[in-house]
Amino acid sequence: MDFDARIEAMLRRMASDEIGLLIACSSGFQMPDRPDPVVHLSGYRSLGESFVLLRRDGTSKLIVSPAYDAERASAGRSPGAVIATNDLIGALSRELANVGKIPGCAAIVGIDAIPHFLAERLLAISEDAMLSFDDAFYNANGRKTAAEIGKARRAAEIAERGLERLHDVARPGVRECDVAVELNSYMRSLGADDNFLMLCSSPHNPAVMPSSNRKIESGDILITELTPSYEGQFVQICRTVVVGPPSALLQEKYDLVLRAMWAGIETIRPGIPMSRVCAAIDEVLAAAGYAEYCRPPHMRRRGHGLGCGSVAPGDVAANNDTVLEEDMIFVVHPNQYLPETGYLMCGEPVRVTATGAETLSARTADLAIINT
Amino acid sequence: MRMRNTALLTGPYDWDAALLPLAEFEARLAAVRRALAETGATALLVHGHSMEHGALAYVTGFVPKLGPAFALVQREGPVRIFASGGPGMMRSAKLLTWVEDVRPLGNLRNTLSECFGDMVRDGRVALGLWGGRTMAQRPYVAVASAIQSFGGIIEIDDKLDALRRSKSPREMELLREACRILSVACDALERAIAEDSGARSAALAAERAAFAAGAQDVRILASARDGGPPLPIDGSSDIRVAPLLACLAVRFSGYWAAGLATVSGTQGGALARAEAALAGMLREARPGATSSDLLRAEERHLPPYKFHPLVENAVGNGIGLSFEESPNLGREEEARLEEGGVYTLHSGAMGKGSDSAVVSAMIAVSGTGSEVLWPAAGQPGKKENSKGLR
Repeated sequence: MDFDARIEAMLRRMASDEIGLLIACSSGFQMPDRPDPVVHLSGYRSLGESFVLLRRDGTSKLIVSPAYDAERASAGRSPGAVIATNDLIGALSRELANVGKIPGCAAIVGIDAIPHFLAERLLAISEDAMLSFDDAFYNANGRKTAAEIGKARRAAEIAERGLERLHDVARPGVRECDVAVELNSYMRSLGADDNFLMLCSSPHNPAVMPSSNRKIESGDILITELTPSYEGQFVQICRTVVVGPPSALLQEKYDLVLRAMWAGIETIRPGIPMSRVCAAIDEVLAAAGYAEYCRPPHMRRRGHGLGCGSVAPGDVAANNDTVLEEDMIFVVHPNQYLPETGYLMCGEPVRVTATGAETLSARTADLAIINT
Repeated sequence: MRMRNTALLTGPYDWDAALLPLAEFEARLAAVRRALAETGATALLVHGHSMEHGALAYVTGFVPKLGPAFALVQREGPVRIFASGGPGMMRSAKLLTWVEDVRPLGNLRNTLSECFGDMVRDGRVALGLWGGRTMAQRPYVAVASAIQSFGGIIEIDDKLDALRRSKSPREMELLREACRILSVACDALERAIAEDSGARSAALAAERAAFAAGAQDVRILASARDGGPPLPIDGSSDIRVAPLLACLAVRFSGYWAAGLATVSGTQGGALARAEAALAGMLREARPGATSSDLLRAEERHLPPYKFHPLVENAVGNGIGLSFEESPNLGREEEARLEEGGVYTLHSGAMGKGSDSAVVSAMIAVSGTGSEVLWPAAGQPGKKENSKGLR
């Protein structure tokens, strides 16, 4: 699929829902598991808040802030004209006035993420707009484009190189945050433009957490999710590294979590609901006696879509019945708390293929060891 | 000025009482409570998220890494923090603050309704909201919905932001250290460019140097073409750029230092004008000086060059726990420099072709004038900030 096909799919969905004008909003803050409709429609990652106006006839405008980002915005994939301004609402008001009469209604997507003051002003100038189009917006086409898939592959390579670097720098006496900063810098040197990098260590982790100033100790279990973005496409790998020789119990439990992950990945194919992937993972863990740990507060999801445009097909969760399609990309991560070992992490980014799933990482998770 | 936000903050953010002692927070909390009483608010909800959390950090030291966080401050009693993340993640969240009561945010509306329900026994809740301007629509709607049955919201950003404007001696030490790190970053950038590095490599070298010098966070924008505006370093392109315009920001113990720099082997006309304009502004910088005083000083030196688009809206702003804090020294406004305040002042000139430049300085305004904390390229005193805090 290419970018034009995405826009065409969106226009068809707008026509079927009798939407004449779509106003997509971005806060300028992109996360791997949260959608950004402006990125989805334009490929542009804004510095400040931004909007895309897309009319049912296919004409569009990208309105971005701040004004000095004009060159970058104009160089993006936006199919229409670009306005760079320090007065977003002023520019938006003028554009909406120029739109004139539209067939059907207007719809706004992404309003929840933009600052309250901006959202209220947007609502004031588009008071009749539909606010319930977000799900339909992403369901119109949740597949990645060929270009996004290429970026995801590159991001996966960067994540794996980052993991190699972790083995060079993580050792007893080094602070978690210093390891995280080094990995971030290293992955940036390889082309990453952002990173959601969780990393923590303890003999018994209750969850994965952002890095603290704690120094790594011998006997720790270090858990991490490396989530670099390459040209705006995030990918995530989740890994567990033991500092010193692992106990037989740890190895046994890690193998269990790995089996659960592969059960999930092997379930993936076009046409099945995402909930089935989650169920496949849960079944392995429940059969081993951990059913209660497959529910909140221990477990909320077994993976998620990867933005920063669309994050379709959404969470790998029991209540997500989104039907998988070829070229959707998401991470499958059982990431399970077990009472004997604490939180253990393994996770692979996958692309849905015509017949199954392709893991984007070249070397998949195992229980890694840092010799001390 | 907007910098590229990062998906997750990774540097050393745990509260360090040696750098910001509890007494500093106690004094702030007392001042906040006095201001709260003057507004008639019975309680205060302080909001922050990973992009902007100056108010929350001022009261609690807490830096929200994962999503929105709130501090609930009543006129008496302990402060509570509600942080994004599950119960298992509170262990690391608690390390970020002096506040002992750190809880998962959970469902924001339900969590706050429960708190307001407890408070309403003493009468209707007048909830002061600080940091609400930057709150996203979804949490704002949740807060508004939670308070609806118990009282109402009073937005008191302006009154409480004023407390942050005058820096304490301790804050000044931290800001000076942030400026020292900024100098290290800037030197690394200049050195890399002098060694024929591309813009991307030079920015990464500056970033690494800043982290090695103790920065918690580093943000850099740099030109992608000769004399182009400073932009995020996206993609893998790494071409040599001259002149290179850069915006650098570093954070130490919560405090930002930020600067604009133009790196060029030759002194272009735009750079000479921008530096002269900045020097003119610095001569005017004293308590009571207004944005328009500074603007007039700048305008005397820029023609025939135009204002650079990067700085066309304002001549500067306050800086500290936020990259941009009040006052905004907007060209259309009459904000004043205040004694005890720390500001960035910036100037930029744009001529023909690649002849563009941006420069800035960080200043501390004292009783009679101002002290330059961080000089931009070409400004006097550039090498003086070299002594570390620790």
